[in-house]
Amino acid sequence: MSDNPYDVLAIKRDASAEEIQRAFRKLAKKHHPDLNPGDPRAAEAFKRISGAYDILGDPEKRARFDRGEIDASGTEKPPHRFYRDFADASDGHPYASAAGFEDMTGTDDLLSELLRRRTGTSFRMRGADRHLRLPIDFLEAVNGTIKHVVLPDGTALDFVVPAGVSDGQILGLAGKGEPGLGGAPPGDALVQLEVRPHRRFRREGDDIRLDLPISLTEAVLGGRVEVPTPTGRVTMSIPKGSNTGKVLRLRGKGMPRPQGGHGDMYVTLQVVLPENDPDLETFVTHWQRGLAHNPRRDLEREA
Amino acid sequence: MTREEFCSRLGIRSATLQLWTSEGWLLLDDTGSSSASLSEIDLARGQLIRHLGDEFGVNAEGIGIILDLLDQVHGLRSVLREVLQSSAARAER
Repeated sequence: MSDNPYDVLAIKRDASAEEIQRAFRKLAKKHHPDLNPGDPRAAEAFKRISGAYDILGDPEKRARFDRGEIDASGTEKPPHRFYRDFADASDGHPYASAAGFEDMTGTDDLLSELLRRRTGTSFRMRGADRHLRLPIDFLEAVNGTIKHVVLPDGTALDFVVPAGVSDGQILGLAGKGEPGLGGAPPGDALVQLEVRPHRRFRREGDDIRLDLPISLTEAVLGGRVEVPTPTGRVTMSIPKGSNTGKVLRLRGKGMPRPQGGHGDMYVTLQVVLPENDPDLETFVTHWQRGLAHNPRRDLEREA
Repeated sequence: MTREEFCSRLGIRSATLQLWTSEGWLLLDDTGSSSASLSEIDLARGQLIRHLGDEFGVNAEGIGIILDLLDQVHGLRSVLREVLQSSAARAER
């Protein structure tokens, strides 16, 4: 079945806001999981209908969807625990009602025996998982860190973010989810990491890339320069005659690999001329070899 | 969770929670202390009340009737499940 919200609600593209609301209410009443306690497909259908109404019921989101700025799944909500999940699984919860069969308990037969027995049965359900998103800095992702997070309900989580994690990776914290019912174990906390980009470093797989400005002197004569890496500064030697675009490798200065070891760091050189330097101008003006040098010769021949 | 937390997770005002409890839709220990704890099942039931009232346009009388009938359905379902389990156990013997 198509996920297009207009198809899900079975309405035309130009339907009015009232028509949309009417279509939603009609379908939602029919498919609400709590009004269909025994139908496992109801939750899926209701989720689709609510998702469609989330977009079309909000004029702004609807306009954005019509313009193609968001897709049909762009507004999916976190999983919702319906009342039926609690009420149906449990005996002896505060809302349990015997009104539907009370009149049958008087007779002395199998059913009434069962009905009498069922008071006092207990019920266990594992707690729900918590889903969180946690932004971390690039350098924290490279070097690892310890995070302290306080959830809206006051629960504090302390956990280690291991070195070398990537953007979108999920850390599972066993037993840190919602508490279980009836002595059942709690759920897990699932923390999705969001790695913020760094101003200078870029990650490519296990490797890290950096653009490094060097002076004309360093480019022509070579020399030793300091290079920042995620784990601190190191000294690197630049060979004589290094051009802009030359890539030098710093072995083992990349991301830590899960199986041990590190990727490499690649440093791309960028020659930076001094600004307004009359001596350099004078030199270049009288530099015969330089005037004759044409670095575009190959280009011109190919064109 | 506390009453404040319950209200903020559902996006309702505390007056609304008071109305729901006085209608008997939610069961709270009526000591009036704000530390009274609500559980996940109360939250899910509150969510259902919001769906019925805000999204389906059911009025207050209707919500009470629906909740009452739903509670009966769940009671019947659990009895039915036990009858089935017990008759399966008897068949094995």
